[in-house]
Amino acid sequence: MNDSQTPDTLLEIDDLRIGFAAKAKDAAATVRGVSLSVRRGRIVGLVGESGSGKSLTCRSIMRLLPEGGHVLSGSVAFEGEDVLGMSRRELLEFRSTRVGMIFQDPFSSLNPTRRIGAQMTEALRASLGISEKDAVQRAVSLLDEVDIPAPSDKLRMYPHELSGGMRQRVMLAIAMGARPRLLIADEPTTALDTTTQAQILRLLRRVRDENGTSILLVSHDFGVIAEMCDEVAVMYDGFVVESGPVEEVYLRPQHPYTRALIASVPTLTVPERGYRRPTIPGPPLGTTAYEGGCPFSPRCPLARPACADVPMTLLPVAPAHVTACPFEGVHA
Amino acid sequence: MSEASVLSVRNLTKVYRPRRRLILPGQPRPAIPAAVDDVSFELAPGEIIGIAGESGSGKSTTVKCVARLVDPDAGEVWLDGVNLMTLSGSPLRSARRLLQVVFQDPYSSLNPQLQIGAAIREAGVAHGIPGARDPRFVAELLDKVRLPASYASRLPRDLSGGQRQRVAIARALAPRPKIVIADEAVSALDVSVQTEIVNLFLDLRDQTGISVIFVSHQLPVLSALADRLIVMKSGRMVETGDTREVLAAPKDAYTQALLAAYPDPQAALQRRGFGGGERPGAGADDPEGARDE
Repeated sequence: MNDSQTPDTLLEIDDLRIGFAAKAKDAAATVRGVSLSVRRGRIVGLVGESGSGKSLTCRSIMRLLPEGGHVLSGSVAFEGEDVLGMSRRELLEFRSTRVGMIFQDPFSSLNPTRRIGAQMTEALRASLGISEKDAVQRAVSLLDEVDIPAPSDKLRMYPHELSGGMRQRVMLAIAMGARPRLLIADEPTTALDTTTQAQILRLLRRVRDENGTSILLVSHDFGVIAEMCDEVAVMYDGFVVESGPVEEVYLRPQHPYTRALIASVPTLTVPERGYRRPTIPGPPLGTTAYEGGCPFSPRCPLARPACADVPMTLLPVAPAHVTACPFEGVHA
Repeated sequence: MSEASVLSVRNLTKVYRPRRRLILPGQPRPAIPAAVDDVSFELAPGEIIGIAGESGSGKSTTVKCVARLVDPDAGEVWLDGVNLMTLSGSPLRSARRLLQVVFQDPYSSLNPQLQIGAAIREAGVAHGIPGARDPRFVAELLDKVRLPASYASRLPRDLSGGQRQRVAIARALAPRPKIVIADEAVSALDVSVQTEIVNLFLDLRDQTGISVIFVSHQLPVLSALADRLIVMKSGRMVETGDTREVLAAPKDAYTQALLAAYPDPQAALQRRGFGGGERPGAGADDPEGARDE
């Protein structure tokens, strides 16, 4: 976002590009231009289809890119500090105390062969440097905070003895162990049932309300985004194509992709027989090579020749509301 | 089976009993809840039934029993005048031709080394469909799921998730079934792609009169697709009826809770004070919590 770097800003990502290859110089970008900022105590959504670069963006904040992934250019600043330039020691401290992360599948992020308690106390002792006894106490109170009943009993259990929702609560408890200022939640409820999802979302909101923790919430579900977020950034094919206050973006979407995405969200309304909900026409994301300009133009109903080399810079349309589509009249 | 039904499911029950369990003398046998508990429904030609429920509700086991991929403990499944439960061997195989299944993950249900065209042809050949070896057979099926005929020579890995699911549907249609069972067939797909597949099922039904049983934990997916809904919980059907009626006026408390848990973007924003008005924040005249269907 353009009006950045107020004292309020916790995380600031500027024009981040990420690519994959054995050597950074050979890498072609898959994340092609992501600018994003998260203010203190805010919940910011990152929404887009699979393959749009949401997860890579999150991982780059933690410097946890998968094998072969390189940051090609751009910057990630956390409380004004350059995350990409941190030494190993600084990074370790950063990851263990200032940022927490939870993932879609809590089962694969927990060790199936170790009891919940052992996994929690290990993480807590490493990040807080406390004794085993204190760590156990802390683990119990953390599990209690995420509404896990009979927390001391749960410490003796193995991950498979807990339900999906309970496992995600455990992951949240571990992530919140050091009271990080930022929680990155990458599709935290996608694998859960609807009623469990509602509970986890309530819990995340409470984490923010009670601790002032900022949350970067990745989701492909506009319902979740609308329920939870203060601001939202919409991604397509490695670019942030639009961002702004959630109500602005949802109620007055400016980028044709955002509009198409919102129109395709299924609702509980039963349409007339014969009605077909709108879809996004054209080649699906990831099936065509990127050739510059706006990556959505091959599917865009309003595409014009100029789209082939539009710079994808985010332009203001309303306070804090920006879009990469510069064309007048598109913003109907 | 009533005259109008293509499929009749009666009192289907399935209990997964652990193979071995140590029961100490003098201790009562632990009660094992049924995965599917007395499920009955009829499916009319050209009808789409949606089965909704959360994980563990028994919706998936129900359709697996219907397709005899799992053997139920009790109940009958009448298809085309025969009770599938009484069949085995080759009569079961030929009856199954009429009832094809599409699963959640098209990548794991397609042979990664087999070209798309071969996978579809094989399904036709295996059930002895005349003309299945003719290239036009594959081309017609690809056309039905709106994929270009040139995709016949591609491998599953060359396709997007939505395209793979289209291939899985084409393969399910190859034996010319009367019923397609879709078990969470869109759950792994992006929202816009889910809608594409839903629309495809609607078109197929309208064009060919095929019947569909569509299992999903996502009620919004079923709302535009299913003529009738079955809501399941703990193996039981807790509510069934016309989709519009069930969604507008759910009678069962569980159905109500399920509907309330679904985050509708418009409703969520209104609840938070952002109305659908002209300006952001102008929804202040809509006090928190005052709405909700």
